[in-house]
Amino acid sequence: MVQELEEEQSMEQERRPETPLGRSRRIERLRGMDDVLPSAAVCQRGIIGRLSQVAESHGFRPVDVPVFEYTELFLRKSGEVLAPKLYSFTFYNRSICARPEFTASVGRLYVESLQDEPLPQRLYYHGPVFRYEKPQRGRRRQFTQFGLEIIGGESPLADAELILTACEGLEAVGIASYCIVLGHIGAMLDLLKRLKLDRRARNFVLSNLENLGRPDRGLPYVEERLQELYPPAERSAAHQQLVSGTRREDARAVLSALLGRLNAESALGSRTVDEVVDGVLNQLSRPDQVPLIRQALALAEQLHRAAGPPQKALPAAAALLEGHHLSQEPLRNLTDIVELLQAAGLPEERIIVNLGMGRGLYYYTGMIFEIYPTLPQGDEQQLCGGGRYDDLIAALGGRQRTPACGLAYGIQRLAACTKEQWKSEAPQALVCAASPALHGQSLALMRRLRQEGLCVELDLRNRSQRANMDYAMKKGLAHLIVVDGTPTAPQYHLMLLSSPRQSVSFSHAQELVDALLGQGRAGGEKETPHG
Amino acid sequence: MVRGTGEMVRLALPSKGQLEEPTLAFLERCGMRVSKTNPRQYLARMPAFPQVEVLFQRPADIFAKVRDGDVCLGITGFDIVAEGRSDGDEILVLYENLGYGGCDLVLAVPEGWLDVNCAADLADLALEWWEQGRPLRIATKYPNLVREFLYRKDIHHFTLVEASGAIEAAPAIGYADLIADITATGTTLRENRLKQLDDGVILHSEACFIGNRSKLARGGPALAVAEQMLEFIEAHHRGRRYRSILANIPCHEPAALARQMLGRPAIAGLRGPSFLPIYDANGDCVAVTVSIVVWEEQLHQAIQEFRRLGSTEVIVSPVEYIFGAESEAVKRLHRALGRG
Repeated sequence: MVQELEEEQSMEQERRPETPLGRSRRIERLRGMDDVLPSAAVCQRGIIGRLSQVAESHGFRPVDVPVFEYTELFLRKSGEVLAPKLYSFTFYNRSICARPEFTASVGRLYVESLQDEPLPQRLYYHGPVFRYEKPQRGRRRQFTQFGLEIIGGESPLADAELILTACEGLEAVGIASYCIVLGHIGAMLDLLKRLKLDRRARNFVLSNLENLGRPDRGLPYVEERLQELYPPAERSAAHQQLVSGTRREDARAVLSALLGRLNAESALGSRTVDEVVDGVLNQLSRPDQVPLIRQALALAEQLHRAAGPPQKALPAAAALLEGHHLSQEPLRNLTDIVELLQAAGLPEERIIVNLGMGRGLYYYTGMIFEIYPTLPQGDEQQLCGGGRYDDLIAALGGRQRTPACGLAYGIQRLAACTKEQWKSEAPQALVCAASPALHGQSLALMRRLRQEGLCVELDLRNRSQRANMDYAMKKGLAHLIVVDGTPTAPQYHLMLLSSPRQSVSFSHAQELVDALLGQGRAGGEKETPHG
Repeated sequence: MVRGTGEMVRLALPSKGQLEEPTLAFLERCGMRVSKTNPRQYLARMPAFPQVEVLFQRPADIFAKVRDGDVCLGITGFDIVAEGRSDGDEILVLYENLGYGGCDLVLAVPEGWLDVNCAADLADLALEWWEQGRPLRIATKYPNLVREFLYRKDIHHFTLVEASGAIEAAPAIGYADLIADITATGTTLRENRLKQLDDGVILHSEACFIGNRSKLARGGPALAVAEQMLEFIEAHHRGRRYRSILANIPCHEPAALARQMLGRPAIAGLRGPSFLPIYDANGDCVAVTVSIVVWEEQLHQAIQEFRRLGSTEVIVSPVEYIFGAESEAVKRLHRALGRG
């Protein structure tokens, strides 16, 4: 079998035409990046069109941002989770990357160009994003996002509007059943602050919240990562006592002197003796982060397990936060949002509250949400996700702290779930010339037909009338128009391809146009009773 | 050894540098001597493989030539392959560790950085510097491997300085803060007053045998040569861990002796002992010559056991090859080509 296949392939190689550069080898697509064939493209564009209508009906205005940005834009606040997934490269000494998401870019756009306009700014956009990860079903290296940002809208009202717009969009593209998982990063942020985790440990916890929630990973996976990234430290309690029992200046003087004796200055590279001494002292006096991280993970896990419908999950989460002496503010905020959603008519059974949920990106400061096609149990892929990021605009150089929230849909995932049949405008007729001498007349006729708003296709292959008929019927066209006669006295034949097959001839193009327009109307009328 | 159809199979071997001599010695030990008519020539033949044309190239060029299909087979450093390959390319690693040319790609910092001893310490430093707007510059010839390693260690804020030549000097000269480079013994690092991070081994590398996927998938002489080379490499690798022993032992009843030997793991042999009888002038069997193959680690113990059984002479010789019923490496190659 394999042999046969190979022979076939090598024969195909033989058949391939010779080009000026020799027999050319087929060039393949990059792994994890897809071509979009016509039927899928029609569906994706249809979805984007509907989502745009919904967005505009809420007062969102379209924006677009470059595909490439400075890498720093995404590292500034998006968090380290994205860094390994960036398609980044150095081009003329600048570190540049293909965008992995839009929010940071739109934030930059706002800071650069829209700060003087009145708030709120409602913006929408769509386009490809790029993430270098292991390709699998529903997770590709290039995919299309459609997103909304509300800049200058306070919680809870803007949050509720955002989520309701998300739902409206789903319904507009033919996705009637879905489930919203609603969380609030504020609870975990509060805990991390209280535990006084250092920045690296904080990043570790935040970036692993998502893993905690994944049934295929969970706590064992996160614990394994923890042990890998935090190997047992050599320093003992005695070390710490040595430092805590000594004034910092004294400890520093002793260490500097020791380093000097070791002739260490010549082996410090780009750092000074003081820097290294400070590094050592900081290291010795820093409390061990691992128990603190475990504490944070334990609460996150408890919060995960307390997830459920609002009337059950909210009180359960309240008890957990109280038990850890944490602020109830995030819960109050979430309760307000849930109440607004319900008042607006969103059925309660569509909402799952999960306070342990995390969304990779660190820029979130408040409510976060994800929408799934069904109640998420395993590896369901979210259709849409977003949240509140009140610090991002300021972090990108905005003039003041500006509340903001936003969301993004994955267009390919919507396309996989939509129940609607998406169709593009199909041509109604195929125009063909009886001889090459009549190509000019065919093109002129086509122009007139299009001016009348008709969608027509031209035969480019000089096929026989029979072959053209077969082609037109295969493509589902209603009419075949044949141009014959002579260039000075062309004749136009209009053939109806559905049965009973009819043919009418005209000597003026305008007559054919009128007939076709009349037929279209007549046809429409005829077909109504059957429809 | 390979039936001829006239088509030449090109095999690229390392020239100059540290891999040339060991590669030629290794191939010779595997029964694939390279015959170089002139030491300055870049072409050679292998008497065991009349269809093979040997080209001497720089290790980095060998990787590129095999990837691009200019050459079908090659031996080069695994570090070069690991750094250079990308998904969907044409490189097939046929045998990853040939057992020589061993070295490690390691992260190393200036010796005086007392507070940086492992990757976690480096992660803290990277964050601290990033907050200060100070880049952490790492000089390396292996940007892909280093980046991947640092990401795995949750180190995200760094700048790779791609350099060639004396990378170890970068921190002292000042164009990088630390380095990631190949080291075999650590001497160069120490001489430059650098220390390797405790968990800073990014990759262990040895010489490896690679091939071009499309060329091999076409079958024909290229695949036949690759299969035979793999067979010999694998059998040689298996064989070199064993020793063959011949020992004369006084014995009247071979079956009883066999039972005794089978009870002692060091001399039980791979499949049990086999005997050749030794007769005296009356035609009586008075001794046997035992032939077994033992693990090199158990050699000394085996000799002691034979002495205990009364042996006065034990002859030990190396095992050149051990061929199994089929070659694992060839099976792997077939699977990789979708033929398995």
